[in-house]
Amino acid sequence: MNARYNIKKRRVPKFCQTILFDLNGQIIESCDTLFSASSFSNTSVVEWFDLMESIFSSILELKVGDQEISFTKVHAPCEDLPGFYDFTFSKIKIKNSEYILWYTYDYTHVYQELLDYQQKKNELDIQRQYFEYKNRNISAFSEVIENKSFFEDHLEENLHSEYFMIFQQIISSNNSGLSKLLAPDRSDDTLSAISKELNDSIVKIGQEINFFLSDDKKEKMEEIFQLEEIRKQIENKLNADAIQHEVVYKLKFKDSSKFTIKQNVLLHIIHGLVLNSHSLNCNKQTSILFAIDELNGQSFLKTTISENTDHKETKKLNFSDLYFRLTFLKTLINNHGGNIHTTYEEGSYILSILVSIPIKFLDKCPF
Amino acid sequence: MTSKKIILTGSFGVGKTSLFNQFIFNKFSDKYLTTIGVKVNKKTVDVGETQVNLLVWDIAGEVSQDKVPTSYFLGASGIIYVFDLTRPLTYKNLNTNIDYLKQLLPGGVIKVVGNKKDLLSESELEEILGQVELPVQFKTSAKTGENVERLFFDLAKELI
Repeated sequence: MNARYNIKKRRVPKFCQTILFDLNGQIIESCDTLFSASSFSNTSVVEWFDLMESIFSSILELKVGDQEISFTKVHAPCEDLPGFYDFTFSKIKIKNSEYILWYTYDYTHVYQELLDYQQKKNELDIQRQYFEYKNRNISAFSEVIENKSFFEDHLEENLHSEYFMIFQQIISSNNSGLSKLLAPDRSDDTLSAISKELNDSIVKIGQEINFFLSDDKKEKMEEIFQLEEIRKQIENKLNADAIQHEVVYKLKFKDSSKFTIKQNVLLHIIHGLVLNSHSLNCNKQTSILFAIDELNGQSFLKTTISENTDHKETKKLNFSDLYFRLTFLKTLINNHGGNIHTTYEEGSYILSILVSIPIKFLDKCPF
Repeated sequence: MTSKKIILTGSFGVGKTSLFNQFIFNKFSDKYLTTIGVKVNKKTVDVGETQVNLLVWDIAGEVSQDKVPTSYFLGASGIIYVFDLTRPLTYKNLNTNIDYLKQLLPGGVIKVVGNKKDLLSESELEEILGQVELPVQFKTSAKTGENVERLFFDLAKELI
């Protein structure tokens, strides 16, 4: 038996009021348990509540001996009755005259409990349905992102050429992209400067891209999951990518706490970052590390994507892909209260992209 | 003055209470509050020189309309069937639900309303409307108030 049934089976009214009125709606008698109906003796019951006004003609159509008409869970029929009530009406005959017998049952305590239960259930159902719908939209949006002409057009229309140039300078000034820039023949100082410049550029472009990402494209829903639960999904995705792009991945999970996060956003970010590395070069090793971190009482899921650069071969840089993806990801991450930045550890020739997204642990989650 | 009973029905969370509150009180809240049972309120609408007293029944959402107590529909003149434009499950069985309501209220006026229009772009709206089984007479936003007054006004006009 479900919770709803358990609540309903305890359904015993707290109070009951009996009212007798004639076919003109004039009150004959009332026990006044719930409200003082006797004080309305000069007015028709039709005028008491909006509900009465809308059902009065139907009540009059009742015949003596007919089954009573019930209106259950009537919420706040008037100011004096703020809770939940069941109304039943039946026609009776007393000394050759017909009257309406009206019972009002106060079920506020039961229905309030039912309301609380229903609220939680509906919220979850709506959330699930909305998530499914949005997930479909995000997938569709991803397809659009893969369409290069789409972003080239939009970038030209919407972004200042200054930022376009800054990014182009960082990525392609040394001809073959990040891996070339991070090649061993480059000094540590240069690499640190590139890392800093890259961060600055991402910030600027992220601000700009907000202008053409409408609100309805910003995913809002959350899903409860454990890192381990999506491990397979990520691995499958990465494996497919790895085969296609001949890239080696290492996945490390450091935490298995149950928490909520925008799951499809997370997958989108990871996928985007991995694709980003493909845009730059091939035959390299990428490792992805997940960990839970805390800062100022807020928990974060930290995703670190590090790529080594010890391969000399580079492929022709696909500028549009890289540019749009990074700016898109930056916006997406920021919209969810997260951060993205790159780090370079001197002498390591490893560039890391660090993504932090706030999370809520399950025991703090309202559902 | 003539009085007409109107039922607001549809699946849960589609915005029936929001439409009700927008129409009756000109208020909107982003917070979702479930309705159980029924809440009744009224508002007078001027249709030309005729005043129509609309007695609006905001009833608890049900995915399947045959779960709504039939007594709620007693004496009703019109039904507003609301679905959420952003949740396909709320218009999945539209035909079945409307057929059921037509049987319950033969001769009554039934309006099919897609709510939460404010959450969609024009192209998304167009795409969704192409998936709905029946013509959608009104695309509303209880949040912005778009088409809410017009919905009730047109219904009142049709009922007199």
